[in-house]
Amino acid sequence: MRRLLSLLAAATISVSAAATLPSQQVLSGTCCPGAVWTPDSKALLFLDGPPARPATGIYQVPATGGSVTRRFSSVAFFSPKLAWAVRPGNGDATTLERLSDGRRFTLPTRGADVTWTRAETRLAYTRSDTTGNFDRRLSRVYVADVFGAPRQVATLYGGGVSGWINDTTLLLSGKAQPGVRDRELFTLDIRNGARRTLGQALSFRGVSLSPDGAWVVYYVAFDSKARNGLWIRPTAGGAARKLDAFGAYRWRDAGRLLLIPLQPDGSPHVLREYRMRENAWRTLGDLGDQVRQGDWSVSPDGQRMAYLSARNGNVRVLNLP
Amino acid sequence: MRFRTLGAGAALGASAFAFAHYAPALPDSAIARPAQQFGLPFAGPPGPDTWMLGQGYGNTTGAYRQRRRTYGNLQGVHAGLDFSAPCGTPVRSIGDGTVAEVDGPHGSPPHNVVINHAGNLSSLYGHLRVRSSLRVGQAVKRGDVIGQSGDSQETCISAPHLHLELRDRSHQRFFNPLPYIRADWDSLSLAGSFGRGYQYDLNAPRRWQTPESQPEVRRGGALLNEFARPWPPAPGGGR
Repeated sequence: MRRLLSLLAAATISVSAAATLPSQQVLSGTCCPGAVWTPDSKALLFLDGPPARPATGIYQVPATGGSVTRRFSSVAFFSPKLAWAVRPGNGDATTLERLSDGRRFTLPTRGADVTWTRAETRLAYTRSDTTGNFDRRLSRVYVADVFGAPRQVATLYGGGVSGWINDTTLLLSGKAQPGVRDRELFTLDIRNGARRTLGQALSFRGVSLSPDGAWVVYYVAFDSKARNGLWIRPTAGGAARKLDAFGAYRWRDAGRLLLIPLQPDGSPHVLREYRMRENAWRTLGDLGDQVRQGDWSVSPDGQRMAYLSARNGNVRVLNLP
Repeated sequence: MRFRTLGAGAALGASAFAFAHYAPALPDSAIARPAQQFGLPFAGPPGPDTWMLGQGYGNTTGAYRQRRRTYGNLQGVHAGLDFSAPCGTPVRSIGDGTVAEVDGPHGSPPHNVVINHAGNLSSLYGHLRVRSSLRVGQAVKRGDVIGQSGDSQETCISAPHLHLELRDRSHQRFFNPLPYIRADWDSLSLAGSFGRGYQYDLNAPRRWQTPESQPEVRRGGALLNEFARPWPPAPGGGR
């Protein structure tokens, strides 16, 4: 028991005594929530406009700070590789534009954004009813090749698409019938309809696939003591790991998950890293600051992190150790 | 005697109702300024077993999509805070005060409680699971249990949460609770949110994009977020 207490004390000290990670403010004037990384990890994109800037659009700032330039003159959901702009309309139709040549097609997503495969040649989207109990609403999942027609591949209740594991396999969650309690987290091969159930719970929250699609992280809340918590599991099947931490998380790369523990005591936010192979945590340091609005992101190359500073509402960037 | 007491309580409730819902909005000079004078409505730390902050106050994308139907009388804005919690979690008064209404006409079904505080402020606790056992006129202290959290869909598995509002005592003005409640809001916003941020007005994209800048709401006023250029668009233009 004494040894256990010593270990706990050591663990606590290692978190609280973390060194502050140096960071650089790259935007000013309380700017701007929702910044996202460019695919090359060299810059951040953000929505801005009057009165701070002459026109509304998507602006870009280098990750090392510097001049802000306008990257896109219109606002859209942009695909991760910046190959496509997705513009939902007020009705059913969403217009998808290939940025390299301006060629367009439409899909009846009813306002929903789409989920792209890594190659961005295929997509999926969920159309859900807009009334009724949240966990019983009918959702239909569609897939489409670019410039092609959509094809329905699944019907769910209270669920939808979580991502693409590979070019032919979707990760979804939802209920098979509206009246049942639990949702399923499952994979679906869109070629033949084959399903593999990964887990069951009241709800799967914060579902996020690793960059290579091999792992999925999620949390379960308000279900049962045994189910509640942060989980990570292989998408090919196999045992899930319950992680002994809870908070906000992002993938750093295929083998590392970053986490800011939920510890609302006013102290600076601490950044921790979980290594899949070692099944172990290490503390990278604290921000000397807090993240505002849960707004933080990791660059695609896993080398940097951007966050919205609680100190002044501006975006800051740090190099990850 | 018991009947007389109940009758007096009912009369008090009726007069309070008449005052509260037909009186003009109270002026700023009559209302306490925000000074973190209140506490959170749950005890203990947040987490997947207990409670988490679900949706913030203000011009959220979720409110925008329901700005006419659900929030039409609140200027299209989510005029409170949503805290996710399992049904039956004890809900606590955010400050010292007096019970003003139990199951009054405030929506947030199936059950709600209103507590009056110093400085002409009132707190509303909505979507309670069962009718509170409190009596109108009863004094409560900060941290006293005033009810049990419930589910807006009344299933205890669909959307279990507490809806908390901070109003002026005339129930005409709705305030952003954040500067009134002492809490580490930035940490609470890290995990548990079921919202997707704030709705943009592309003609002024920085407006109302931070938790502390969200607008006050006046009951029955014009929609604040009937934007000419909203982002993201809502299917059908929003309901």
